[in-house]
Amino acid sequence: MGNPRVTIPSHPLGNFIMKTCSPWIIAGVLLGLPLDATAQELLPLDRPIGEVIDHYIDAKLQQAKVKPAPPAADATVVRRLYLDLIGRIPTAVEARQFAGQPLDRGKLIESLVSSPGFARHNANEFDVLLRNRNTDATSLQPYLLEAFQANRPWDAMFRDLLGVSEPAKPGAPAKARADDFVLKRLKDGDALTRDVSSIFFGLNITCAQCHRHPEIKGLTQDYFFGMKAFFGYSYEFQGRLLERQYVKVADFKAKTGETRKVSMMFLSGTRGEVSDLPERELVAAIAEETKLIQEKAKEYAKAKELPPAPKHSARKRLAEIALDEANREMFARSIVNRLWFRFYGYGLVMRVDQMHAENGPSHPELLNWLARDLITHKYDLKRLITGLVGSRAYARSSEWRGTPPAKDLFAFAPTRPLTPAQWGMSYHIANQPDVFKPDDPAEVRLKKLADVERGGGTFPFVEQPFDDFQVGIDEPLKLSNDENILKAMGSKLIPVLRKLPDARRQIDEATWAVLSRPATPEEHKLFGEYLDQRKDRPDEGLRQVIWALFNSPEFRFNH
Amino acid sequence: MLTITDARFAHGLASNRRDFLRIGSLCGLTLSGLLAAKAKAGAEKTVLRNKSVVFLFLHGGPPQIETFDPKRDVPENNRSCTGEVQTKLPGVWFGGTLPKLAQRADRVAVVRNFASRNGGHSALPVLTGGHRSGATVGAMCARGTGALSARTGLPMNTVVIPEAVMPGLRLGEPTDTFGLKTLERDFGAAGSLGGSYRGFVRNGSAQQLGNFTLTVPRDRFTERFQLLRQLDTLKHAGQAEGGSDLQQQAHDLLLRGVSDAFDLSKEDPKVVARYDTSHVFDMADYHEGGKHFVFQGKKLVDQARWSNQLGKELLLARRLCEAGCGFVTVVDSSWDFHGRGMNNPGTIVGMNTLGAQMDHAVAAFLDDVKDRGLSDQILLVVTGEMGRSPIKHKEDAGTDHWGNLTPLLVAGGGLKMGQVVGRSDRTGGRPAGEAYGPEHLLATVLHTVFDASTARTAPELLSPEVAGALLNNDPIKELF
Repeated sequence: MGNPRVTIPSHPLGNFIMKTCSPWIIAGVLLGLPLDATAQELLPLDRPIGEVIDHYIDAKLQQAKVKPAPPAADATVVRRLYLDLIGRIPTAVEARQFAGQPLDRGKLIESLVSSPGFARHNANEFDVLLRNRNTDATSLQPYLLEAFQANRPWDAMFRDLLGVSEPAKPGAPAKARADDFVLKRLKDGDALTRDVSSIFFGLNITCAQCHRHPEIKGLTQDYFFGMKAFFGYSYEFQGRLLERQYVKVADFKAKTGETRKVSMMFLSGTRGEVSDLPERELVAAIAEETKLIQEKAKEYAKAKELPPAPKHSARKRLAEIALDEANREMFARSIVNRLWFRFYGYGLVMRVDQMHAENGPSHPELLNWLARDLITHKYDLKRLITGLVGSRAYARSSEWRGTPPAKDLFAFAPTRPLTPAQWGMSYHIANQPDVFKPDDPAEVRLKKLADVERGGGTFPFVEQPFDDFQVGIDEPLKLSNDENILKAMGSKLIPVLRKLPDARRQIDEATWAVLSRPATPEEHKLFGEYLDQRKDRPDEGLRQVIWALFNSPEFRFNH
Repeated sequence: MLTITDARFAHGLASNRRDFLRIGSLCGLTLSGLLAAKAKAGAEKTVLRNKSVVFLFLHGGPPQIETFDPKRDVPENNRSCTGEVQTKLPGVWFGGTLPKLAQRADRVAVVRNFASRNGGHSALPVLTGGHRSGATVGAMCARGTGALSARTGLPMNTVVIPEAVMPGLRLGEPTDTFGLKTLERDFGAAGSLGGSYRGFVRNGSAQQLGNFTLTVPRDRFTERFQLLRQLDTLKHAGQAEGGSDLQQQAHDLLLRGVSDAFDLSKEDPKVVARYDTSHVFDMADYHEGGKHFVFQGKKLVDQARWSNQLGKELLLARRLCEAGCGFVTVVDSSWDFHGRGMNNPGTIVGMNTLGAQMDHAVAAFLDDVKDRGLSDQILLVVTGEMGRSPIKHKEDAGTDHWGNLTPLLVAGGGLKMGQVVGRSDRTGGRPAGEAYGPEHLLATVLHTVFDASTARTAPELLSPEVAGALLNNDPIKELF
């Protein structure tokens, strides 16, 4: 079909709106959507995602006259893909299978995203995402696991989390407790508003709670309270998330001193309906509904009846507005940017919760293309993730000699700290290579992996990395000085190594197990000489070698 | 070798010439990262002013009138129930149980228009200054300075409670609000800044210091690190530059015995005696079985963490500051003088015990840091989560929660001392005119610890949260 030029629709509000002075204007400005009426030309829809990424990344590199880093070694790419797609390093047996032959990356990606580890790892990653750094937020891991196992589209997950999905058909995966996302945050409506805006739409509007946003022109308090209003009808009834029909329209005191009525308004300026009951009738209706709810609560133990649902659900309205044609791009761009950040170590927009017009993307066309692709393909996250790790840019070396170029050029691969879950799984995998035999049938290997995972335990001293990551004090102290940890580290690996005939094989096996690659000649020399000195205490010698490998940054990072 | 090209890890180690870091060992990396900010301080432009903060938190809601703002021309039930004492500053009076502080009024500043605007026992509104991160000011400081002292490896954010200075001390468990769990959670809270900056709550256990004490044989430990360094060196082949100084510091942390800083037996006994407050009252009287534990047949359960160890706690705070710690929160519990049998004694008993102890301990601290020439290096803040209702009940001068006015004293840190900032209304119930709140206190501490004018021109030297909190709030202007 040649190379047809496809245009992305300009923002529906267009330039006309720019000239008026209603909140609508702000919409485009606020969202950072392409407002320009002139068509923006993007690569065609049917190009593979990886190819599109490289097209746009390369173009900018050329423009900046930067020659990117060479491709990473195959063993590095294998390790990177294992960590990124299923949240752990390859076992020594798995890693060795790739040695000595050209890597078929597509095939490896395909096999990893179809393995159970993919759902588990994404459930972990999205659980962290949905917590939005609230340390005491409820874990939604069980729901997320089911959702990723069923490859549930992101828009459907959004509805699940808001508690507005259609009831599941019999046999469909249960969406149990997804709405805990809202329910457990009801006590703190401000945090709920902040988290929803930030996670799903890439815009942390907290600052607008008390005053106009200092950095975003036009982002006023109305937006914060407008978003918050969508949750104003929600309440907890017998542990369930329900909604009322009537609430008192809340006021907020604007910084200017005036008192303003709050009404539902999405971040684009789209408004939800408000009750049109006159004040007096509304007061009566609220009182009546409250009475009804109280009665139902009293009888609940016996009758098991819920108060009636409202005619219009405010949360449902939020989902409708957010996902309608005019607004859905914001929803798509946010998750694209967050996943990009995960795999490329730096967002197309930084920070990931400051996606607005005054903070544009480094590669606007790429972000638009990816968002459009996600929408076209019905918010299929597996497709997006598979595509993101399929580019040349993803598989570059993380080494750079000399002064590195700007991070938003993506000229080299990022060096990313492992998450606690990645670290823990990888530690267990590396620590017990004898569990996995080269000739295990696939189902036996899966079962063994599941066993290792179950016995994983947690490593609370490994910090969850965020975008301003620093390793906590506990970690280095524990890893170098905690008797129990030191005793456990290598306890299962040493007996395996001891069975091998010579130091050379031991060093090689240990390096495959921990670093997923063969030992270099220099490492053979260093460890060989060291083990030779420790011949009188061979276990102790091996323990020290294993400790050094586990504590090397090569293990600690996805590089 | 592994090259870290990401400023998140290289932060602080990066120099203008070389803004990337070659990482050595994990320990090298991690501690280097944590220690980085201080190291940078030595090297080039810095936002760090090398000050430490001691934040004495009188938990429970200390009275404003019986501490730093007594009213003299008011009805009896509004006057200080412990009398007043003339301070060294003309026309300025303190509550009657604070004679030692009164003599040193030229070395402190009291803020009489400070209101926490919070009438409950949560310490967080004052500690966080209302910052959205939910991080206490101590965690904020640690975020800006690095979580560990570059010089000694001590945690930069530490919380001291009575157990820290009295090994084996077993205090009772008051209701939730005042319980040890709440203290550990709130006073060290780092909110969304992340666990690295959480306050290290020194709870007195030997095991806890074990983290800082070498548990493995020294030769094995050094051998292991040697091996790791050699492994790194392999990867350093051909690369002369590296963060090796910092790696070395990191490695030394465990060999250096930082736990000594927590050990008061290493202190001159004469100094310990000057700080000691155990003579002010008998602790046993206020605990289960003691004569002041029961009021008209009712147990005063909320005074279960009542202690006479504040003097030593402040001494420990001074030791930690000397050893490089940037922020020490000292928690003194049971300042909730409701009286009338409401789980706590009234103001008269409270001020004659806890109040007198605070007077002695803070005075000893002021003298000690002055003698050591540290007055300008250490900022002392004394406040609580709120004040008390200005009108007292007849019986035992019991009072209620009061968020409209909160006592606040600051000393040292290079701020302007010997002054009274602002004033309260006639009854000592609210600020008269302009008022300060927790956000101003947060900014005051941050402006002491960080150089705002440098941060304004080079905000990248600080994390966005710290830079925002530093630059977006006004400090208490009279102090600067």
